[in-house]
Amino acid sequence: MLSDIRYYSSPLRVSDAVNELKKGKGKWAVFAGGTSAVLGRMGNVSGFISLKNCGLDHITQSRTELSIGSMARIQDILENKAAQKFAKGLLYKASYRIGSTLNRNLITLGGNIIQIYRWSDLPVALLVLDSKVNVKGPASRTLKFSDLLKKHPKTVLKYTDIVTEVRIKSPSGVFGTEFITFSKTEFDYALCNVAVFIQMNEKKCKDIRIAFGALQPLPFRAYKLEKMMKNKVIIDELIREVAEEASKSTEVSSDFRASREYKKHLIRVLLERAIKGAMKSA
Amino acid sequence: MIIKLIINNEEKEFTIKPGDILLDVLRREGYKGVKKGCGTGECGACAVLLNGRAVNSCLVLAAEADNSRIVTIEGIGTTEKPDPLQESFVEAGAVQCGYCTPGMIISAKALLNKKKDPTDTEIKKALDGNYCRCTGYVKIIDAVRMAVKKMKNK
Repeated sequence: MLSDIRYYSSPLRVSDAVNELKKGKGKWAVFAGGTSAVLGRMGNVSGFISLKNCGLDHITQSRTELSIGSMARIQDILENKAAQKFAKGLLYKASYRIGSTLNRNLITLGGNIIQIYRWSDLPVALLVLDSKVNVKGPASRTLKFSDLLKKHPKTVLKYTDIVTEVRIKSPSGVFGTEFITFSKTEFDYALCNVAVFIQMNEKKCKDIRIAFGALQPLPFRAYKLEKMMKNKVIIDELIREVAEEASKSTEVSSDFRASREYKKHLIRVLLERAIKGAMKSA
Repeated sequence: MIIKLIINNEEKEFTIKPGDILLDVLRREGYKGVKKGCGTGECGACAVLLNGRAVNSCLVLAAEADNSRIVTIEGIGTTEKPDPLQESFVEAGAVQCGYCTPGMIISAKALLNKKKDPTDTEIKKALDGNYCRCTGYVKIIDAVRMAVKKMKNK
């Protein structure tokens, strides 16, 4: 039992949930999938405001974008036809290794990006897809997902803010994607994960987005590396050069799971594979 | 607070505290087939079907399950009329100490409710959150395959 939890409610509308959070004055937290909350990883909270009845579990695709409700489960993303195929399967690949089936049936998209962990896979893919996040609260707004990750999302958002939806523009033109996550075993947390989105104009790279995860407290875009490739003809030598630079310039530290040197080696190898994989799918 | 549930097709009403965990409530109310293993969502011993989805009940807040439909191992079959999965687990020798068996059967049941003829990869993926510390995985996969055949022939 979570003995500190003395209040629970499951309002029918997001606006009611926002009002409940106001009443809680920062002591009540949003309850999404709850896998972290139940394990007591939500910090000092005494109440939960559940979003389960707010109708935020949709996955819909229009001509221009894919929108995923913050209460959609990771297993829903894996099983939804539109989400499976979106961006050449990038979301599917990034969702496939999250937890186990028993936990993917509980973990929500919103929970996964707000209660973000160092090793999280999906946020890395969302970063290269230039995703946007709808936030409802006293001041409703749409944020770029990359802006939400400038600091920890819980710091960027106020306690009265609720993430309702993630929106991803459908990629156009000739494009390819790749996601690779590396861990010591199938179930272990990622030591390094990388996502690449590339847009080609014949042999030239029209646009590229590269993101890494598991290396620093939050996933990040590698803008410097992207610049090295934009508007260039992609040849193996350039890919190698970019991968070397990634390994050299990315700050990582040793921990009990891997040394700094090993992580740097991983960055080089995985990025090279990811760029090649993205180009192959283009 | 009071929650209403349908457990194994029976309507139930329980008084709970806001911080109660579903696993603890189910065991307290007599559903002892739901096993407590790790208590942290790693082992799958506490798996139940929650609105048709297999979940770790140790990671579900009881309040969150209000108005839900739950199936525990007690609702899968009886000694007189076992489910094909239960028959297959016995026939294939897939039960060693037996502690993981309820969770294994719940996960397999969720899969077979959705897919009548799953591939080996799909079976393994469906059971990826269920640990067998006797390490009897080969027989467990065999048992699920056997149940698929049984269900086809029915």
